[in-house]
Amino acid sequence: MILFYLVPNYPSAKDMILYFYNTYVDIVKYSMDYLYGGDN
Amino acid sequence: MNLIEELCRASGVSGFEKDVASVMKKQLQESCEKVEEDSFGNVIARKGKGEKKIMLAAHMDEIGLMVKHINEKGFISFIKIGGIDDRILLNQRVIIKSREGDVPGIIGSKPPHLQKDDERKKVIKHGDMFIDIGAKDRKDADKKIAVGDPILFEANYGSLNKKLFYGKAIDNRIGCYVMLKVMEKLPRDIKSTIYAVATAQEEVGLKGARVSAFKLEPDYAFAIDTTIAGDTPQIKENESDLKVGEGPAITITEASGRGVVTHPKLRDLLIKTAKKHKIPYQVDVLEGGMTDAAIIYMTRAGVPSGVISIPCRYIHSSSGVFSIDDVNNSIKLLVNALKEFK
Repeated sequence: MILFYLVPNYPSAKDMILYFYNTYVDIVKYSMDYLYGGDN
Repeated sequence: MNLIEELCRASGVSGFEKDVASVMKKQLQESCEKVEEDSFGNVIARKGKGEKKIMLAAHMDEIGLMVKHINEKGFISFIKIGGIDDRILLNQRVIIKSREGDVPGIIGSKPPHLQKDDERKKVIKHGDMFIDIGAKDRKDADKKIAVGDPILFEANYGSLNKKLFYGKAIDNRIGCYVMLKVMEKLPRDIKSTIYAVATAQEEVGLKGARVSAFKLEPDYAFAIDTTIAGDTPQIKENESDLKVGEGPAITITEASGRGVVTHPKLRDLLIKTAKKHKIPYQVDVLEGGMTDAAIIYMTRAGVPSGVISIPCRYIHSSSGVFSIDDVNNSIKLLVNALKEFK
């Protein structure tokens, strides 16, 4: 039985941090667009 | 030497499975119609001629180490192959599989007499450890070993009592044994085609299962592996409540859903079969590990897959402990479940 973090393509801690950071950036971006007008 | 002992004593660090593969091939040739070794190192055997194709996968590789560097004094630095806890490495007896033959060595440690207060509290990382093969210097070591040679724990096998046995590479030579016995016990006129695959390089990325499942295109698959018994003092009940000797484990999901999520049809088949034949079983909801099934079930357009595991104590160490009753019940469960496919 393999340790799950040794399986290729399993997201690393760095990937997860980047994922949450990018999600946060998206939320801020769409909120700003909604409040102050933007492409949407 | 019985077959389980022969399998445990065979060498097969991931990517270097030749020795254990020859044991698997020899045994499968006695029970199956066709046996071959693919270009990846998987051993694939076939029995039956039915329409439905069912793949059994038991990985034959084991965790180990590899020579990384030899210093001027002839001591060896190494890397880990597969998931090994650094804390179990100190002072282990190891065998370096070199081109010149087996070279015994010891992972050296600093005696407690010389350790300072802070040193006693620290976990020594594998990168700071070394293997002593008794070489006078680098030139002497070079005569015996080379960078890139695989290293395994010294072979061991024995019993704690009439039911509990221990040995090297229990993960997953026990699964290999179950698969061999299942193939032996299945009738030649079974209504489906059964492929038994002794997979290579599972411990380093489920690789052998990936390529063999792609080749075979099975309709269903079962991985046979070990799992974590929680019946020892350091493991809480809510971390694992599996116990050795209380039956094979039927996996529901692995790695909190990141591994296989067993297909309901196969889960129900295994549970129904266990009840029908009065075979004890346990249900495994696993958090930190995965088996070959995690890759097989995502092959091509998807393969409904399940896992039967033998609960073991101290897996991924130099000696694992298992119950022979769980092994025999796993064989019984799989043989009867496979007969249900038509």
